[in-house]
Amino acid sequence: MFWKKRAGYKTEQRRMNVSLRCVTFEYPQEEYPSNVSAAIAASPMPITILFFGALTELTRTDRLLLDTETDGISDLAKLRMHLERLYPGLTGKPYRTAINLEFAGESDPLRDGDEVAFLPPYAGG
Amino acid sequence: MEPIPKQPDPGKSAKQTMNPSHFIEGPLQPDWIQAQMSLRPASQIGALASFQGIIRADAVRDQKVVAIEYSAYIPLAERLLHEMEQRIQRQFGLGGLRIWHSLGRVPAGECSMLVLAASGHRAEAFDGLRAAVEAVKAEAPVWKRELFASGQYRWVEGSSPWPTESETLRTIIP
Repeated sequence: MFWKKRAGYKTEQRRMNVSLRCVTFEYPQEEYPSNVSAAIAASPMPITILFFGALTELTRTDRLLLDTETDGISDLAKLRMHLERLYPGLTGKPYRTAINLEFAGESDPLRDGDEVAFLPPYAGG
Repeated sequence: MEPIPKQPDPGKSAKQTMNPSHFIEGPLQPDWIQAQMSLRPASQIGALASFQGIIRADAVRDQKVVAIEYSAYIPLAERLLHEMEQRIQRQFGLGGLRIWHSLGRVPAGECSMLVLAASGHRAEAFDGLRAAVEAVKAEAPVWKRELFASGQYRWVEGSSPWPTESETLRTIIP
């Protein structure tokens, strides 16, 4: 109906010369009913957890969405404990974490919409 | 035979950068490599040192590696590689430094990484080139799996040391 591709998607794909496997569609907000707009504005955005490398073997996924309120996750330490309960194989594995593309510490808070990446030891080159 | 999972998405925070990308899908082709090596930065250059990382057909438990498959946390890797180029260029007084890395599948015998270092004299070019190659291996959020002819695969264990100030460091590697 009124879906449109995120502006710049094609340009971004060519510039990065890799296949983007995620396409974001945006519903023009001026066309939302007013009660839906209010509900969307009030609802918290989940945090996105990204897994890389051999960690994807443990989690069987490269991406997870979690609700900070429902899951009781307010900082990185709580997130780590939550994930180690979900995926016991994570316990003891070496990794570092980044929140919104910045390396993070245990006490760093998590906010709605954050992106947290779990990065095992690098193996590039 | 387990199907090979797809590459991780680049993440919602992937954004356009004004800097050219460091990543190329698939192997780096010989004619493309040659074209990069013929470019010159806009300063007085007396030496151009290059490194090409080639996929070895290693034998692992009687199976031969037929390809390596690379994945990366692309937005973070792009930023870190750019900062790495700037830092090493300043540190060694280079006229130019450029790093490219493959993503996805690279067959054995083909090139997966190219580093070019340009300077006025050869000593800085050699030293800067080596520092850049080691920095990519230690600091770029890139991972790889060895693919075997049987269809099986094995994640290559990273050897990059984490900075000791990281509060999330885990040192147990079974």
